[in-house]
Amino acid sequence: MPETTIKVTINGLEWGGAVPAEMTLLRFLRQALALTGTKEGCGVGECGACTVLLDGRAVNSCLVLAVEADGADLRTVEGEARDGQLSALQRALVENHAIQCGFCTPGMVMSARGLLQRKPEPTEEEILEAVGGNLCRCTGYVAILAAVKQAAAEERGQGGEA
Amino acid sequence: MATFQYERARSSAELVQRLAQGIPGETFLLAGGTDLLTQIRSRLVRPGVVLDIKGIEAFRQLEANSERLTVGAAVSFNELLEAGERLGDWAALLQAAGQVASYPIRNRATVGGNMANASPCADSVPPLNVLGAEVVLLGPGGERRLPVGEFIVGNRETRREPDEVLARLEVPRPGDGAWSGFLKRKRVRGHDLALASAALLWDGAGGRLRLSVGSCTPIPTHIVLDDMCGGAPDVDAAVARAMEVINPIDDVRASITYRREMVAVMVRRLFARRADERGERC
Repeated sequence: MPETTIKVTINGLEWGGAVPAEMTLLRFLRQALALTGTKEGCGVGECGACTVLLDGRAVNSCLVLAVEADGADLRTVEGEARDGQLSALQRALVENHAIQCGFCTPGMVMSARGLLQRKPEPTEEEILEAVGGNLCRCTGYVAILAAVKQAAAEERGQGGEA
Repeated sequence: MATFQYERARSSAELVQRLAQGIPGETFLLAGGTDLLTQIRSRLVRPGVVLDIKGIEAFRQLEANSERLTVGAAVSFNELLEAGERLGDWAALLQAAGQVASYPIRNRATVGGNMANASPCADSVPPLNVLGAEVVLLGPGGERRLPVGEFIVGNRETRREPDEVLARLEVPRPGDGAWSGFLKRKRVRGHDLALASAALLWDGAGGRLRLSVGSCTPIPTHIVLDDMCGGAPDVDAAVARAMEVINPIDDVRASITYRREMVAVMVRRLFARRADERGERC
């Protein structure tokens, strides 16, 4: 099985090692690193459950090979909470009842995180565009929209989330 | 996924050399990967080698000058959109780019890949077609250029030879005062493929009035309406000309009848939108 050696930074920690060429970034995170917060839904880029940040940009990790991430800075939902405290974004999702079954939530969080990093004061339109690729089939998007707005306002107040 | 060998090309010269050594049908080029990885996963293709072209600096070119817009093979849709302020003359292409799949997919998917993949519902193909884009292919004999309508020859079939790579797209700058626009009909607001799409270029100075309809034929339609360019266009006649060339299919996304009706609606709306933006009556 052809393997390639890669180096990545994941939620601030460095990792280096060999990965099979055909291993997706999603499988790498879940199986090789046991970071199972990132979920596999459709596996073909339609549901967004596997969204992570690659060099600050939201991507569907099922559509990226682990080898393509060589040298990248990755951020997953496990990087959100600090010292056992949920991030403002995670807390806002809880407070706005924007979570029901929770399967879409890690991907939703990462899409919203990518948006807040590039646009700390997003419009409703920009929020809907950012999470439009994340399918939620139980909560609905109104509560999610409210949560992202609340998180944006809180994080701006705190001088932004790192 | 079935196993394969992964390689990165560092320069276009290295890539051409590598393609010349490859076994045709076994070597697959990887840019954004949003189509290739789903095809591998669903076993539609079984690559022996996946050759990543994203690291080639020349393929990252995104440049607009007085003559043309150049979009290198590794430029993603979001990179194109982020350069949007200086690309207003190619409005139809930008509007289509904003409609491709979802935001995270646009962070990976490339404009060149959308063209090379040659799906009948590719969002960027109708605007590139009306804007007169050329596909620049690089192979062992150097470069050759093909207009979009000659590059795509069937459903996911192109004139690219196995030892060639789509290096970039070149889109001429429309004449002064030209207008272009794109519309896409899909079932949901979020990520969906076009059940039909349409692009219009009205370039009065260049004497061009061009229409292209997506998702309704295996190869891109290019409807030349230059004869209407002079005065107020006959929109009914333009719709009739579009109806003559489209040949939509019934599938899970829409029926033939619905697609035809939507194409007529979109063509009318494109003319109306231009008139509206220009403060004219249509």
